Amino acid sequence: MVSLLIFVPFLAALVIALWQEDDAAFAKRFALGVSGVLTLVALGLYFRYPGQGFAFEERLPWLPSLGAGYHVGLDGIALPFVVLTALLTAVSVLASWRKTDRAFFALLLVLEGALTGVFAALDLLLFFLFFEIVLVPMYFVIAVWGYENARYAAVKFLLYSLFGSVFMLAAILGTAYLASGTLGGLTFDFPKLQKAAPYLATLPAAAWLFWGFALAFLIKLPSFPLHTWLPHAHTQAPTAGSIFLAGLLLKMGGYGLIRFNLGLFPAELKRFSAFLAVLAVISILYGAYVTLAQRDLKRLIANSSVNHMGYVLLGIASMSAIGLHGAVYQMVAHGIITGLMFLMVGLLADRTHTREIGAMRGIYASMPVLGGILWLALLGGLGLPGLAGFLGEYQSLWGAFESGLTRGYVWFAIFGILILVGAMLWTIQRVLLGAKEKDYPDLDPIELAAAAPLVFLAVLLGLVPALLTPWIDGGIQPLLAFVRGIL
Amino acid sequence: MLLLTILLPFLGFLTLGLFGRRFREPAPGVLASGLVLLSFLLVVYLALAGGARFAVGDWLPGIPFALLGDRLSIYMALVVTGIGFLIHVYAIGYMAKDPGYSRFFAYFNFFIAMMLTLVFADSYPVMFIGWEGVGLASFLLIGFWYQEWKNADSARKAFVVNRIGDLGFLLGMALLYKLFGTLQISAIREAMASSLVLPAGLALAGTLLFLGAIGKSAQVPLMVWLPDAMAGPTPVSALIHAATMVTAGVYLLARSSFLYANLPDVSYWIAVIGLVTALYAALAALGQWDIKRIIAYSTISQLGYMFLAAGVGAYWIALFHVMTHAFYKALLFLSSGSVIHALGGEQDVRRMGGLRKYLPRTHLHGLAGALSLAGFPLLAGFWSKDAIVSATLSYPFGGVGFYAVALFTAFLTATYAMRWYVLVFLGDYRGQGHPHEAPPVMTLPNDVLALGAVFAGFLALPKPLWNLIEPYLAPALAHVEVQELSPAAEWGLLLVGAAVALAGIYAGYAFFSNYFRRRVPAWYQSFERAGEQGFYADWLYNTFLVNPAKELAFFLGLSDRGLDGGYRYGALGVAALGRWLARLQTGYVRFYALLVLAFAAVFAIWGVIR
Repeated sequence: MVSLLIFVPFLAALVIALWQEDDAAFAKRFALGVSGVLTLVALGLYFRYPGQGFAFEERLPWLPSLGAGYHVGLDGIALPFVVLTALLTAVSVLASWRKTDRAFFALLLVLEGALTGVFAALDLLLFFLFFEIVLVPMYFVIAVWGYENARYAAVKFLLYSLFGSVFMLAAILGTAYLASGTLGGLTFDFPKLQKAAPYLATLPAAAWLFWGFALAFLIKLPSFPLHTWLPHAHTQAPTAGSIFLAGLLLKMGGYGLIRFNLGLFPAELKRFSAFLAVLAVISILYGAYVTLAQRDLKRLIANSSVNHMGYVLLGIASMSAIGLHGAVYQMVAHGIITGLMFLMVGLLADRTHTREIGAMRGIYASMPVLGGILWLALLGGLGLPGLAGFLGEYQSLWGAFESGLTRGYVWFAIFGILILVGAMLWTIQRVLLGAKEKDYPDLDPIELAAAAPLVFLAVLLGLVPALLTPWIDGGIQPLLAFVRGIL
Repeated sequence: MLLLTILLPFLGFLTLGLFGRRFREPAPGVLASGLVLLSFLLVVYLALAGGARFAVGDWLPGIPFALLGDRLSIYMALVVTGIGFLIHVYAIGYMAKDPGYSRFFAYFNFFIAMMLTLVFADSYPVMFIGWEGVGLASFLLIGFWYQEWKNADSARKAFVVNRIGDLGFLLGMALLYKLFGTLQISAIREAMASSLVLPAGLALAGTLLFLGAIGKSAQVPLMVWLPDAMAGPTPVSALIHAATMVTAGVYLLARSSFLYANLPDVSYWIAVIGLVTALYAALAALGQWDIKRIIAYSTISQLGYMFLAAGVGAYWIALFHVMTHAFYKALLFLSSGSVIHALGGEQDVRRMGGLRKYLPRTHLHGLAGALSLAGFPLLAGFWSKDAIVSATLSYPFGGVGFYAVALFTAFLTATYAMRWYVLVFLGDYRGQGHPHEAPPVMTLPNDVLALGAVFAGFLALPKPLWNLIEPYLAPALAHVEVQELSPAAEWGLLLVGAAVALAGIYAGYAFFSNYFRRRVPAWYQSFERAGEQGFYADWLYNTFLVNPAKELAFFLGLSDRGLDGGYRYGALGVAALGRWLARLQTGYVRFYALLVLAFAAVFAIWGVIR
């Protein structure tokens, strides 16, 4: 089933590419159908999750000489992201309904397949493969369909990512090589490598391997000071690209940190947790402050992501159960809420033909539905209780406070909340409030259909965390048991 | 049952929020009021049934979603839904013909639902949801007329200032969890009761929670948002910014009384903050000219009294004052609303006066409210305020200094209450409009409130007369050892309080009834000007906090570009290096041979030196 989720989108993209007529009408309907059905399949898997450890595992020999196999499987940490991937693909297709290029929809499907692969891969080489494949369609989505400065932003995105990937590849090879002694042969299989983790922890090279992984993931997350690709990429990307970036690509960073940095090098994570916590606090405060200073609406939301992802990093650095819960919860919530923000802002910019905050005013008066949903998303972004973002932020901070590793940093991080509240409310005021200046058409049914599932989830996961926390727990508990065994 | 009381108004919010446009006036108002009335009846039923509990398993890991209907929460919920219902009815008339009619009632019902969540919560995180929910409702309703830029400014200010306090609440919760391993309020209470030693850090947790209460209840130094919050429609000021939401801070202290009763130091500071606030705001109220801002500062001041009561350990008296204040302050706001309505939006008391003739019914309401606030003997405000002033002498964390300042503030209170009444209703009309009395849908709720403002005090009288409130609330509050005053002393203090109030009332009446015809001394004029600005609190905040924060943001925004530029030049440098190295690739074999030879030579020399 998991393989289906990975490869059906690739096949669907191929079908679109090979379709006789150059017809976006077919492409978008087909892409919507495929991603819609896959969302249901992913949800089916989600609710069939047995509740602990990895499930739905599939293995095939791939490069036996290298010890690399095709090994996929999902645990409670990966499952929410797989569902989110499928869902956000469907949302992105709906958001791009006016696009006339079938290639665009094919690329979105390639992205879906590759991202699912990233979250499902349990073999390090396979993970790396999908991690890299993601870059290709994203590059083209930004560069070809982006705004005025798209080429520059796309290249920047690509270079940043590749820079991180180089170190990650070296770390992957190094890990497999160093572990091969105790494992009796070269392997890239994640569960097998985990068995070598106690041995790896004794090596002086462990710190290098740790940072090889961490660098790639901190760029993706992104954390200060490696965040500067994000505002460019987000601002220039088309709406669907921004949704993918915010909703899923950033999550590869947090997911990778939990899966590999914590899952293979817990001792190193503990050793460097203070450093990571400092980065997290800077990201939180700095991200919030820089958000306050923005004049471009998409750029503003992009910078608020730096703040939001700071909580994820803080939760991970705490290495406590609650903090990790918070990190995963925050990533899911951010995917939904920031995805919704970019969706609304994209639709808004399509109408106003500008992203300049100073040029908008009274949007709520002229478009109550679009304005209302954007309003809700911005409130979600500032962490309003009752919406999903609060539970993520709160658990991260709470977990960081519980853990002796990070307690002291919470006192600083908490002010980021305040600054971001100011930034978000000011945005609401500048964009949504005030007297109506111009009449725009409000959301049409297709656009409403794109927003509806995200609105629903933002509220649902804000009120009923029981739809997510048991799954996260099923992934976190075995991981923490393993970590305790090593430390 | 408990959940239903919350869900009814929430249902109203959803219905009106989603389908509001399809209803015709006054259907949304009637629906919203009806649902709040149903909630009120449910709470009455709960009170008679003796309480209720509700919990669903793990809401967050280790934290159940728990609601508790004990005597404290039921008492508070009665105030919220009872007064809330009356104000809903009033708003049916007040908001008539507003284009946002159904939106208004959607927000209003949302507020009631969130306030009940706050009140009934049995765990701090659930309370925090209600806490932020009412904050959001307040934000939405302050900025209700959002097309006016200034209203949006006020709404944002209220939310941000509240959030400063909320940081304390958040951290306090984290610390409490660390100390007790739970955030369920009743469980922490039991843990406190059974532990002999107070855990270290409890005082800090108490202080942090108190910070949350300061923000929500507009105490010094976070009082600056409440006067601006008057930008919302008047029923909003009555319901949210006088009768209910702003008392949530007091409720939080009472809910956590089992903590504060064990923290004399923190309690002392609660009392000090309350007293400073009461005095500050009473002085500032004397300088206001906006009919609503006078009462807004009065609210801050009265909340200060409640904090003083909670600080000295007299939790039930704080809650008694919450109730009487809800009656007379809602009444004052709603009669102000009737005045504003009658004058077609005029809010400046300098252009009012003589309205007794034009608005006879509203005049009576205003008089009842003002006298109750002033502490006119036997009215509701008299009993509860005097209970607080006397409590500074009998309750454990009190003192004579507290008593003196509280008494002086009571004098000021009576003075500014009369100033408001005299400037609005007595003398000659100084405006140009043609005032007309409000419709019955607005005067009837005020009649009920006026009855409360006059008689509600009789629920709790000093010994040896009856007191219904203290014994009712006792099981839900911390037990505090009281130094009993003799009935003679207590009644003596009461007489002193009555004399001070009467003196204040006379002073206010005598000074302001011909204020515009006399020569006002220059020192009083400058005092008035300073008071009008709230003694420059806003200026201080802007100069020392808001503007520096904005500048820092601007600077960091620039430096972020600088950082990005740095990377860009790094990347361009690599590219340039690449282009330079590419020049080595000449295609001449002899050049490559030369290079190989040169490098071999370098390595050889290097090897030798090493």
